[in-house]
Amino acid sequence: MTQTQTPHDALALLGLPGLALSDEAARLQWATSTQSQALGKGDVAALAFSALAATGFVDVPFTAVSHGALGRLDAAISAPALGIVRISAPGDLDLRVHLPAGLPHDEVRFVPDEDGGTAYLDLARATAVVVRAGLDAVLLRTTADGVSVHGVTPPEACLSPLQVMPSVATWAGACRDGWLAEQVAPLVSSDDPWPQVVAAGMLARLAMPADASEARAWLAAARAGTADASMIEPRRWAASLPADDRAALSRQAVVECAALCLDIEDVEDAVHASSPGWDDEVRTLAHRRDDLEAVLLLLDAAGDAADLRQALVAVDRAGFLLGLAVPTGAGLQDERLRRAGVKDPDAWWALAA
Amino acid sequence: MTLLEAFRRLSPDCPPEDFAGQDALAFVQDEVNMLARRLTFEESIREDAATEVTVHMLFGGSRTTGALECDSDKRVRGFLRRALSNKAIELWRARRALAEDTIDDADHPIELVDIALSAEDVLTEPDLMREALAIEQRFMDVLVPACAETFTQVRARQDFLTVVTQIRALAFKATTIDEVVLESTGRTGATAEAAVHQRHHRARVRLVEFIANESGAGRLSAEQAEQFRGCVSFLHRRASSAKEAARAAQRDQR
Repeated sequence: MTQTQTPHDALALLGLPGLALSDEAARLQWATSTQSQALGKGDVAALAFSALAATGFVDVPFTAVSHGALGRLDAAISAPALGIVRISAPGDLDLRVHLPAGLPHDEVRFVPDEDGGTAYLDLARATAVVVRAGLDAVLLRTTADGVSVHGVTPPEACLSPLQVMPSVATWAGACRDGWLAEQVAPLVSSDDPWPQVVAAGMLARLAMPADASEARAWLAAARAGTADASMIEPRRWAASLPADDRAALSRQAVVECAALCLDIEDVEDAVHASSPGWDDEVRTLAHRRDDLEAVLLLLDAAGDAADLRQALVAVDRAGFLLGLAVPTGAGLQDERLRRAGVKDPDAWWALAA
Repeated sequence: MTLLEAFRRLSPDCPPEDFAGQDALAFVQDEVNMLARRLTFEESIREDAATEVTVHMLFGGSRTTGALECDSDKRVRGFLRRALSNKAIELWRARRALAEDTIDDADHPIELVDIALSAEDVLTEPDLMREALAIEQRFMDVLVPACAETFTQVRARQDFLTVVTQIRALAFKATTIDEVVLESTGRTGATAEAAVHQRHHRARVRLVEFIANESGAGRLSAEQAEQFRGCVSFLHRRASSAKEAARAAQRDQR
């Protein structure tokens, strides 16, 4: 079995570096032969996970384990030769499992048809997973002698006011794009620094000429060094941010990436033409992804976009899959997403616009 | 200066005396104009699309996630070509007031060309279509069987191949969703159709995961991975129709 060195390495492997680890941790030992025999079951040969899944794991001995770090999740562990863990959610909660990229999910995770709240996980192959049910969330990580469990905290918006806040109200006032000015207006008045930063990025990125003749005028102005200040100033502001502010903004963006990634995975199964309200859910997620794109532009201008770009990989992987679930032709008719697609023809969050 | 260097250097905040910055803008604009001349739209559409795309790239487009991933002239060219193609089609539709479906009735679906938009040395839309068909053929002949091999259960492997064949037939309008639903479930109606959509979605997810894995392991280049992901998108865009699902729901209600 391959292993990750630390819990933080495991979160990085999972593409979720923005998740916070709780203080409580546990180490679970693989079940021994004696424990298996006590359950009335002998050792099981190291069969393929999918072969065991085909039988519903009926003959596989599992030993129940408990620890505060698991929260309300029930866990049971197999023998080391199998490397399988069974996790069950409390009550009627659904269990969500986030796996490392590149693994065929069907072959490392088995959810019985009759019980969506239980999952069997092949930790011999998926050496780190995040399992969630309601507010309980844990990181499971394969170690040399068992499985380490860490509680993980759902990330929250926690950007403190920056030393130099963007003058978004002034820039928005100078913005000649009526639609864009209207979009950023509610963000400008927010007490939370995050929406204000997003608004600054939107001004720098989403302004668009009405037609080709206006586009020619914009090009001429850019060549003359007289481009519209509302689109220029946010970049200048970002480029002049002190290192502490840049780091805080980058950290918050990475945290938001983790939250968005998990939220996307939560709704993917529920997105279908006959599922009521899927369009509003997708629109909200797409706008949050576009918020991050606005912040990306600013962090790029500040020369500090590397962490965010890395964190966006997992978000966009999940988002691409969500995009495949969105019914084609449904058309959200969303101007912001349309503009996002014009700026980046590969943006998955613009495909539903 | 290479195209990649010029693209990276694009900035709307570039005073006239910043010669390198101005050169970068001119370089990218020339490239966009050259790419636009290869499109088979009428001249006014090509010119307007080129101007608007240059402005979009200058004001934010060159700092998007997709743009920042471009690590070669070739990938920048593909990115610009996709932006141009989208813009030209948008202008064309607006000017001709054409409904989306009216361009779908050719021998091959027009969206297929998106797969080949990053290809080098492709001059016209017929060339793009030929290249796209070749890529799609490689997808079906090489990638799909390789992905199927990752299923350890023979039955799961066969189910996967059946589902991909169904999605492809839908994409090329060789069958209808009603026929596929009946063939797959022995039933008709919204519930059966939802089950089929879920099955199709799982197959597409499996393909995307496989492409990511192969790309991560270095067995597919970034360009090949992009093209094959485009093939999966194409299968999705053509095969999973909300209109069809809504029609099925209406039929059920009746």
